[in-house]
Amino acid sequence: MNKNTIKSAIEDIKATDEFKERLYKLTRENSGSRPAKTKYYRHLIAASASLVIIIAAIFTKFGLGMPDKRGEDNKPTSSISNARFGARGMGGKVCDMILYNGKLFYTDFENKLFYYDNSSNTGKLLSDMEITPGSSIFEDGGYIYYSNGTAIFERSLKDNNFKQILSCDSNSINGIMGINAVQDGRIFYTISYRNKDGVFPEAEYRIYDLSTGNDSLLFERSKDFIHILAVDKNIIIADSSFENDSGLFYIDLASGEKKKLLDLSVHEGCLINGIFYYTSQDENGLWSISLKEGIPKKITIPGENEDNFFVDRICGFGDFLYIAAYYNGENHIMSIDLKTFDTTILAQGFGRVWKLCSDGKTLYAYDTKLHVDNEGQITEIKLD
Amino acid sequence: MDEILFNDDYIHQLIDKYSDMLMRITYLHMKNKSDAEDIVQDVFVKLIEKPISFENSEHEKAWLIRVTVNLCKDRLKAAWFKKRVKIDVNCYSSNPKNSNVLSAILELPVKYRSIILLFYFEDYSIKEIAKILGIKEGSVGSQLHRARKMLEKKLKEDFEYE
Repeated sequence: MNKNTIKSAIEDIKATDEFKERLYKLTRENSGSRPAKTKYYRHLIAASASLVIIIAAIFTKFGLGMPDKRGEDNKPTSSISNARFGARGMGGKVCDMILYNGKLFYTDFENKLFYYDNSSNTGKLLSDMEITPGSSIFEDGGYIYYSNGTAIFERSLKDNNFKQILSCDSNSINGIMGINAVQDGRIFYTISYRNKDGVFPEAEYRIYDLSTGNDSLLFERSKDFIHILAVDKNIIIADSSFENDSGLFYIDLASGEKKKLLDLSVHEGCLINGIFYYTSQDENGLWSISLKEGIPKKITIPGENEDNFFVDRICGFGDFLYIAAYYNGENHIMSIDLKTFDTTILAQGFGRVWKLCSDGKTLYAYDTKLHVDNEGQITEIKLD
Repeated sequence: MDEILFNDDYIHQLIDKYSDMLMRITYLHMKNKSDAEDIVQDVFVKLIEKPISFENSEHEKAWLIRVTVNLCKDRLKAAWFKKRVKIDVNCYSSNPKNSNVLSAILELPVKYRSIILLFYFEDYSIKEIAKILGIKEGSVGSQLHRARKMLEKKLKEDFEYE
């Protein structure tokens, strides 16, 4: 089975001429030739936005307080706009966020690294990076690690100096490099191999030790697919697809043990004190599974009985879990105390939440009003 | 794109350009033509009701895909839809080989179907699919890997049976 077989089968699905006629008619009846937001409208919008910002600044300066629809008791303290950074097509969105030493750093979908300047309440450009657009950054010990597809780089968050750590030895046309995780001075990375159809059916998984420079093989080249969700010392939790089995797997690097935890596709999760907390497209809600017992447990959270409920994002810090839960047409940011399982809605009124990160003192959430929007905002929520 | 008005001509251009693609997305989700057509209609009505300033044709296409996938998901989640008896009719392929492949695709879990379409048919990269669908690159990769395996298994069984 190749790409053309699938393409040819799907190509048969088409809108019929009769249906297109119906669409023309329907849109004629509904449209009335409305203008889209053109440049002219954008100027008007920009002018209005400036006016709103000035008014908001006056209100803030004189402590008049602005009505905030996000949360009743715990309102986000500030919100910064990413809207104007290289915003072209989908490039203006925030791609990844990390917190280091109380400072928020984030990337866009191009190759730019920004930081959040608390004093001016704005995002500021730190530098351009040699990164594959749209790929993740990983923080470890004050450095970020990222790849451009042929090499892995290390950049200091203190002085912005950077250097190349590793490069793809194999033919770069056939191999492409990506980072899966960085933990305790180790980079977990992949070299993927392309076939003649341009698909990457084979991958090799490796570990690079930053302190010794030792580069070792984790899993040899095969058709297996391993998506690392969490690493804790020698334990890897991965959403994996092996030759004859797939699901959520526990891999012990020391003993080589590979154990299936769940027969599910898990897209988001974090490992805290031997318990993996996760959300899955197959099982709506927030779940946990102890690595020892291996029994999944549902965590009760507000809104779970509402229509269209799902947990969008998860992040953890210390004994707390932070989640974005969608129901009643909006996302709710919640904290869950993992000792008592008390849940607090920290803020609400969010659109689609794409990223969450926290250092236990502050929580940052990036959302766009609608799923389809290219521009969104990062909201800062103080947790103290 | 900036100076384009949302007039009938522009909407008709969009219908000509994207109605096949949107039908593919909706049919692969809903598995029946009438629901698929309903959703495509809703997408265009949504666009007329709330005109969007597209940055470029890539943004225009990605917007339409996202809105369509979301409307399909909403419809599939709706209580009334879940209670209906689904009639799966593959009404498109006259070629037996294509029909087999399309049936196998329709038997995949719903989340895999749009990824298959975007990757194999629309030629989006894993990164672009992750952006459009709002899921992580790794998840797109693993779902694509699983979908491919399931398809291979299913089609192998069919051919062996034949």
